Amino acid sequence: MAGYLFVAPAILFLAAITVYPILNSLWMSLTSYRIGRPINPFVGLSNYAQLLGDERLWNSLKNSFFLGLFGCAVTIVLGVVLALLLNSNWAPLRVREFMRGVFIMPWIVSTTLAALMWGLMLHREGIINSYLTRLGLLRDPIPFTGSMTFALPAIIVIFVWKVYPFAMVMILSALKSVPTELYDAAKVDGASSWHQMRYIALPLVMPVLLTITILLFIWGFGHYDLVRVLTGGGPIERSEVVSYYLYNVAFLQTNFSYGAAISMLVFGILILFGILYVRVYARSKPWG
Amino acid sequence: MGIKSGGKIPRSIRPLGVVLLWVVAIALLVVMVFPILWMLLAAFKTDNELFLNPPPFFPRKPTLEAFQYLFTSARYMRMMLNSYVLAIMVTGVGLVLASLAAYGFSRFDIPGKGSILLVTLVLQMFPGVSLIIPYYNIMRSIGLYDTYAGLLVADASFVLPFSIWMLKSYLDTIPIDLEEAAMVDGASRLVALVRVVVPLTAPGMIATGTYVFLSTWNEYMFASILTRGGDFAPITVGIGEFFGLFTVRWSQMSALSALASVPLMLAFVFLQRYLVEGMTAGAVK
Repeated sequence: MAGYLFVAPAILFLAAITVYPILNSLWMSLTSYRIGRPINPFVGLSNYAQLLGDERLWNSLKNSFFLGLFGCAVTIVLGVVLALLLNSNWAPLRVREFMRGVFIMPWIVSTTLAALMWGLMLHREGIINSYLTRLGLLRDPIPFTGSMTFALPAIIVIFVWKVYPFAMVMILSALKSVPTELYDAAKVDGASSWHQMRYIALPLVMPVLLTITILLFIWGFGHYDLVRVLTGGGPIERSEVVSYYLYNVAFLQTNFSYGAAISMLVFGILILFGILYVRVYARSKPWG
Repeated sequence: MGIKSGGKIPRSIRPLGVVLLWVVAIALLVVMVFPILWMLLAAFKTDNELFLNPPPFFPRKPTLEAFQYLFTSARYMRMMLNSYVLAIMVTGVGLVLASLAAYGFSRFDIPGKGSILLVTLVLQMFPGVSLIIPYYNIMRSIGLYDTYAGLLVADASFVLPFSIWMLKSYLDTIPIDLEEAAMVDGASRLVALVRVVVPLTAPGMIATGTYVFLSTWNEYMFASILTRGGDFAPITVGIGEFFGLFTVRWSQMSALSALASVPLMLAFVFLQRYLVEGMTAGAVK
């Protein structure tokens, strides 16, 4: 019984600020409520019916999916490369520890700050354009975040820069948890370094890799900050992700009910990934 | 956590391979750190100098103009203060709630414990945007819109789940015998908790505290929607707001960013060891 007393404050708090808002959101999505309009009559599923024919919504879902997919894939590759680099003894330990300390720095940079740093470099007259044109790789400078082609890729690059330290740290600690005796035994049996990696390190690191892959996908899919600050979804919705579209509908067009319907859809999609996450997690328990 | 173990370098990649690895490592390091360096240098340049072709690496005539503007701006100083107030409040409240819950989960057999923990794990990965509409409505109707308390509640909602997990996995590594000994000696459970467990969990508390502080400090979405943007908005909103100006004042924005991030970076040099250990406690079996 005493156990409940310890757990209760946090759990009740969490329930109050997640379960109730979700129910509130569900109810709102079944009504027609706009800021400044008096009554909110019940309209059933008509908001949901509207979702189906909303091309701007599908476009934003596609962009979110790209951000999730590429953001996650590039981050995992970068995380693995850096973790392997920091885990093998090509340089003195102190040097590698120093490097880890530096590589981790983007972790503490907020997304608005990351947007500023990269905005400064990707600016039409910024350092990247300056050198690309001087090296002859570009004829005319490109305003990356305002470009039809490059706005979304630019967001993905900044997203990766912001989250790779998390992947690196997780993979590095998983690599370190592999007992050295296993490598020694394999070497006695004549296994090459590739075989050691493939048959010893990889299977042991796999659970962590799978878990953070799903987590990173979800973060990318639901990402909002960089789009809001850097592109506002533009140009012409080329970089509009579903979180930003939801914000636009609810807070700029003040159509709360339709925004709530979109958030229920996002919620539904993420629940699917959440179930996947829990299944992967339950099988491997990388977080103990 | 040190980088102690690690595979030996196979014979085939010496010594040319070692040189190559140094080159790759340093190149990656430069690429990853450059954005931060460039921002710090930009804070001492003028806007004209920033967009010269090619831009000079070091400021030609270092200027403190941008800082001067910020230090005399009551608005941005207030936002900086708000960031500290919020981060400290959320860290305090978060640590108390999370450590009680973590202790409960670690030391008691609570029916349904596994599922409750899994649900909190799932909760923490949901983007805040799926809750922002009801939050906005609720905060408005109960008068918490544009207040510290409103942001405190919203921020706590997304840092609590992971904090509970971090502290629980830390507590699981501490033997229960010590508290039991204290309780046999007549201490109540709460006294045992405060006198015996809390000091032992100090590294875990530092790790969780660092995580909560950083997450709150960097939070942007709740802050930008749940405040009016002035008196109670943290500095992330201030930086975001610069982008909306007709002409973006890059050097002022860089100076503001430097003010907001340098103290954290310095602190993080000492704290990152704890954070990395705390976050990966479960991953290292």
